[in-house]
Amino acid sequence: MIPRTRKTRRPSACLALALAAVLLAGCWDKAELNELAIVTMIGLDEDPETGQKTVYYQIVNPLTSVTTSSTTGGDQAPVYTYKFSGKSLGEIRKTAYKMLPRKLFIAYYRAVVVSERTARHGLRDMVNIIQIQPTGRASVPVLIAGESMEKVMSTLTPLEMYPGESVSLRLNLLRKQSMLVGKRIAVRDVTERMERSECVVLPILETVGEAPSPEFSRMTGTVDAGVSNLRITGGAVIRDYKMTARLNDDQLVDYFLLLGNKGWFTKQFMVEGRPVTMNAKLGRYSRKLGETPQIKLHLDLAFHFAIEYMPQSEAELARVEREIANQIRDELQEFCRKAKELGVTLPKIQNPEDVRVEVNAHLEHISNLTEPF
Amino acid sequence: MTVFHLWFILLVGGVFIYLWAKRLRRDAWLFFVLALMSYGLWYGIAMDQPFTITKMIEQGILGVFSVFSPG
Amino acid sequence: MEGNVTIRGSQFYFLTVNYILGTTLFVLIQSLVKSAGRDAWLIPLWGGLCGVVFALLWLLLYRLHPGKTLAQISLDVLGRPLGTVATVLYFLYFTTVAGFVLRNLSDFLTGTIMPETPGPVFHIMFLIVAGYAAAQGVETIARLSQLLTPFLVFPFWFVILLATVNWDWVRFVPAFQPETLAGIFRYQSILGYPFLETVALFMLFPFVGNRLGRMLTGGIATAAVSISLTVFAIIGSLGVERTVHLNFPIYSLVEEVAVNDVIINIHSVISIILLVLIFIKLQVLYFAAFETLRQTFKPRLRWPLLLGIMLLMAGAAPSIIENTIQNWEWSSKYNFVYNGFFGLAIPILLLAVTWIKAAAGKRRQRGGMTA
Repeated sequence: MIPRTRKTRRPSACLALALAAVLLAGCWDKAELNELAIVTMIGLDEDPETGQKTVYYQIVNPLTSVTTSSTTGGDQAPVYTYKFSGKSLGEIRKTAYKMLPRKLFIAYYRAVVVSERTARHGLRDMVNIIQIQPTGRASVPVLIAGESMEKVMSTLTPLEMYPGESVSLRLNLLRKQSMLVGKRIAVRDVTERMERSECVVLPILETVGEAPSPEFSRMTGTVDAGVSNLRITGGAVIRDYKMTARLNDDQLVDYFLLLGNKGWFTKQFMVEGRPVTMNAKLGRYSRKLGETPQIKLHLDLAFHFAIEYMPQSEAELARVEREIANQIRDELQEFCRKAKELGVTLPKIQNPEDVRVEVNAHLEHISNLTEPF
Repeated sequence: MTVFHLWFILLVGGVFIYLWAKRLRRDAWLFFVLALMSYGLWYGIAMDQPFTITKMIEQGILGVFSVFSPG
Repeated sequence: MEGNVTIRGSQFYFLTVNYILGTTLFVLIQSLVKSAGRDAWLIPLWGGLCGVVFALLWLLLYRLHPGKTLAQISLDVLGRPLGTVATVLYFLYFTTVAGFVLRNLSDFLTGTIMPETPGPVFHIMFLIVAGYAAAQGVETIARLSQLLTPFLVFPFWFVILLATVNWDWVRFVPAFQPETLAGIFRYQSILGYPFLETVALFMLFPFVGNRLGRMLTGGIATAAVSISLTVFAIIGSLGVERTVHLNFPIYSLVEEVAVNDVIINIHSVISIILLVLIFIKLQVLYFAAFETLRQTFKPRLRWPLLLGIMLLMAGAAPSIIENTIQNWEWSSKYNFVYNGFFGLAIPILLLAVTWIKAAAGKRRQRGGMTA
């Protein structure tokens, strides 16, 4: 027994610390940063005829300077897209190192893109491969590629260096400022909704302009942001893990309003023969379930962009508010009627066509003008 | 709505009970009356349909005028 | 409490000016110019003249009851039951004016720089600070106002001066046309807002020394001239045609100021100045409401009363008006009537009853002597 005196206390403490340090190092699983291939976006595709699966990994290129703001600097692309094919997704992961010199690190990825043909075939594989991995992070949004996966996964975006980041930031803005993207678009939401036999609406990703040729890696000297860019458009309705329909912008806003999403949306209404562009946001949302479900919406209107016409008296304003509320109500009612056709479900409501929609609208926000010039 | 009632009742109830326990009856009632009036206003705010005070004043003024106006 | 002179005359003067200016600089200007066009700068002048006359009325009432606030005078003159009704009405009046102030503030901030923030956030934050200051007492309010005044006056007029780079005298021509002059006197809501709202300062009269009269009337006159000069500057720099279409002309005016294209975006300076003026007005109203209830019901503790008033004012602010359009319509029709009831009718009633009681008392004395 080592005597516990003052003399032996310090060396024993040092010994204990040294042992702890050795054991804490995690030698077996350690990975230096420069040994990692940091993935920012993942793409999934499956050929329905052959069953061949393809995975795209968009990996950060650490050699691009982070402070490059000019387009003339750096002739290296900010990301590299690796494409791997195989019989199963798991097999692909293990054979990826035939091409990839670094260890795949997917924990940082910002989006999952699934091709439309895979979405129509079924999303179970995508959901499973992500959830099965501990670092899978099912909180990442899923997008459906409206064009060929090759093109989508090799398109660079201006302004934001990593396409995955660009897409992720746009989803947030679209959700809050345009109501064209929902709150629940992550892998975990797909799983939950499908298990509940409900639908989920995922955003669609398309390309704009020509995808750069393999030699052209960075956009040098182009002013037009549409020369080569990704665009988020429309909504894909997923039912039972399969894509069934597409929603356009108007239908997306209707759907998210019925769900109770709180974001701004802008629309030009025709009120008493005059066009008025109104910004609106859901202020209060209440639902009554049962035999005849009822959805009551209270909209806050804003004159932020109403440059065509602004009511000048209380009576006029009341008429405009009522007219806009009626138009939105009719539109929502129409959407409810077509819901089954589109494959859209409303949570906890059996028959969407039975829903009675009530809309109230009130002016909440004024703008800088009292009356347009 | 529930959140509103939660904080409101906790706040008002807490203060009222404290004052009552300290035997400050007058303070307690004064606070209670103020809280009651504000409850009416806050209820409307929580329902997103605030009760418009100027409209009430307008009714009051018109009412008074109609009493005093001839015929 | 009675006759505790703690505010200096000059402090009360600045307090009066800042109180009256309050929200007028960003709420009133648009409607003034809409009503009287090029000569709109005359409206605050005749409004201020009337404001001075109203102030003389209040000073007369105060001279008959020296050292007493409005609430105490009501209780003395009208007796306990009726007096309590009057003071409670005054309390509700101060609360609604505070509601207007807070609502104007949140509409201004959400309309210009912070559109996503909900209104009650502004209301409660302002109320907490104003309430804290008001709870410290009248001395704090007055001293704060005096301290802040140079920081308000100089940056404000400096920024306005910078904006005059766009001046054009043509914007005033032709001046003094009969139609516009008629419009000036038709705008009677100027009497209600802001000049009759000054009755709230009556709750502070006992704290001021013997220069109360001069300071009060001087402050009202100064405020009127300030508003008038501001309107004048706006008409000269922005022009009537544009001002009529803008919701916050003073904000737009300052936004367009660019000194050599280097100093731009200085409208935040104006925003801060306007915010501070609102604080001062809110403090006075908070204090007036608080003192009114305290002098009527005499509670032992102060903080429950302060908290209750804060709850009520925070609830009044989102409820006071539906939207700006409804506010314009209500203001143009009922502003003078509503403020006149509290600023004129009740004080006149108190005066009348005071004189009647005094006359009755003298008659009883004479009767007793001759009997």
